[in-house]
Amino acid sequence: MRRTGPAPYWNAYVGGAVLGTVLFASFLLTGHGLGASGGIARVVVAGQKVVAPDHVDRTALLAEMAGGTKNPLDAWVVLGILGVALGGAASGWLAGRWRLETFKGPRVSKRARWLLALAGGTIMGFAARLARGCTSGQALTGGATLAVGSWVFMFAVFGGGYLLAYPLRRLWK
Amino acid sequence: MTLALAPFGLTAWWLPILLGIAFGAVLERSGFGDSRRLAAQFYFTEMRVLKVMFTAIVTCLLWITLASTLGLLDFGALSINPTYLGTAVVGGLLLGVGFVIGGYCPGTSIVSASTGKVDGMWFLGGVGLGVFVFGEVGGAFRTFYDTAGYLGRATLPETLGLPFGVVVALVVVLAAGMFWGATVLERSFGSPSPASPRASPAGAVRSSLRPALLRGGGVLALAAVVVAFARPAAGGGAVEERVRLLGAEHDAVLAARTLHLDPLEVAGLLHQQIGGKPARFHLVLLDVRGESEFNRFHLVDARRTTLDSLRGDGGRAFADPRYATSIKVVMSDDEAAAEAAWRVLRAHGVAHAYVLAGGIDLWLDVFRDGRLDALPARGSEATDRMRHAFPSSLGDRFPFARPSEDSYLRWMRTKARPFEVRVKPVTKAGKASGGCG
Repeated sequence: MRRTGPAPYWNAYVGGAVLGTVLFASFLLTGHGLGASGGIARVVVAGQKVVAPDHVDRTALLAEMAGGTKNPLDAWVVLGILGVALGGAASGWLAGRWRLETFKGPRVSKRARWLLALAGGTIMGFAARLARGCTSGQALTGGATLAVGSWVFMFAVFGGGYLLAYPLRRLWK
Repeated sequence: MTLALAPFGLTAWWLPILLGIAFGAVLERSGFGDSRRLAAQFYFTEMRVLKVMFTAIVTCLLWITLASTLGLLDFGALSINPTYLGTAVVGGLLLGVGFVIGGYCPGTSIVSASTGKVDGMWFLGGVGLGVFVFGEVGGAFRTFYDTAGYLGRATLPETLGLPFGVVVALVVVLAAGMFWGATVLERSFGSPSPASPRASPAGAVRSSLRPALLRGGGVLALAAVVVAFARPAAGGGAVEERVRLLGAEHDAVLAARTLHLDPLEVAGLLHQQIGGKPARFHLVLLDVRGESEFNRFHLVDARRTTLDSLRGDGGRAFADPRYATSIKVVMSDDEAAAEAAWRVLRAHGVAHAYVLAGGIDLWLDVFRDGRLDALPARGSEATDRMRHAFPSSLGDRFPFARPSEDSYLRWMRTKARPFEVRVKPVTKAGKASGGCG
């Protein structure tokens, strides 16, 4: 069963076509698209609710998900990210890509890469909550249903990335 | 009338997991568990992000167009992200910045972390931290978050004033143009393994031009077929269309205020009383305010819902014969949002729908402050915002969330707050629906 090297990645257009079909299946069966950051947000709020339930009740942005008797984990998007983790792990393992390693540009140390990932993730978590979704729930899902805000968001994401790409080129090249 | 079957609105707990597994597996197979390949997008060396994303969008869009053209899918019932231009621009720019610094997005970092990539785990931890920070400080710019460039359920066809099929065709052409541009850029900037000098562990990406062109041609041909058959009205959002068509009629009804219920009349409904007399009926109280206001205070037994939900299955449910003789009362802070919700319900053909006159604000004027002579806010005072402050979010755990039957009957007897009875008693064999239902 095991190959000598990892399986090659799919052609990008094939991957995109399969992804679009999965997204369509989601719309067809459930009426909504896919998501990621919303699930992470709910898991974090669930943690906050355990530690400081009163604080969650009093903070509007948290109470909306977890105030009173509401269970923040009772949402499709939470189950969705559980599936993403399972699917990713299974696919990576079957392809021979499951390995503890760090992906980084050639000029940065592992430790620097970790801190940069943490910083980038923090910015992105904040931004995804602000924009009410990330690349999955906003750009992809909203893009396929022609939502105006999602298309604006999508071009803003590419804009923000390209704006900083050149000054930060040493991180990746 | 189209014979729309989908969306099926399935809520089985395992379905999101199954879809998530497929989602995660596709992301992994597409190379999205590797930050170098994702970041390569911003250096033109490997434009996978753009190719996969836009192929996915085009594919899903073509499926949706095909299904709704055939009448198998009701586009109007899909959950469409509401548009907030302000947060879309600011959040999008920040997200792009986070992308180029950290090398992932939330979904791909889950895939990366779950395949053992340590940088993905750090990124995922960062996302959690960022989400936490937003929850704590986001309230400070709540007004911007809630209102900046808010357009509601806005889709490109409506906003551009173009038929659905034409916009789909434009998206396909745009995507094809970008794929061509991406291939050109990869040729001038790219190297076989983008971010790492050593050979890419995942094997070289085979992207000879000819199969790509063939596939692109296939997609274009499929698109042409779909678009040629797409009816211009496909996916126009049937409910919104009916709301528009019924607009003038509804304006007249709302202006006559014959369906606006005085708070005291609604207090009677809570005790199965219509105009001081016992009656038997099923009552549905629909609160269309935001969650935080709802949490602060709402009527006993009120359900919270949103306009978006009412436009889709949430509203269609009330057109079901089961609800034919229920009395439905919609409420917001004043009346604006409640009237909008009422229009949507009527567009679904829902009968016996009423609006709480003066909304929650007037309710609180009367039952919390004891101002029995208070009137609905009019003109510039009617902001549809909560005028009353609550020190804590106690929901319906207030006596005035359901004034007692005794005080209701006493007020009725003494005519402490005279009003005209608007609710028409419903009989069991009541007419199922008065409109287009």
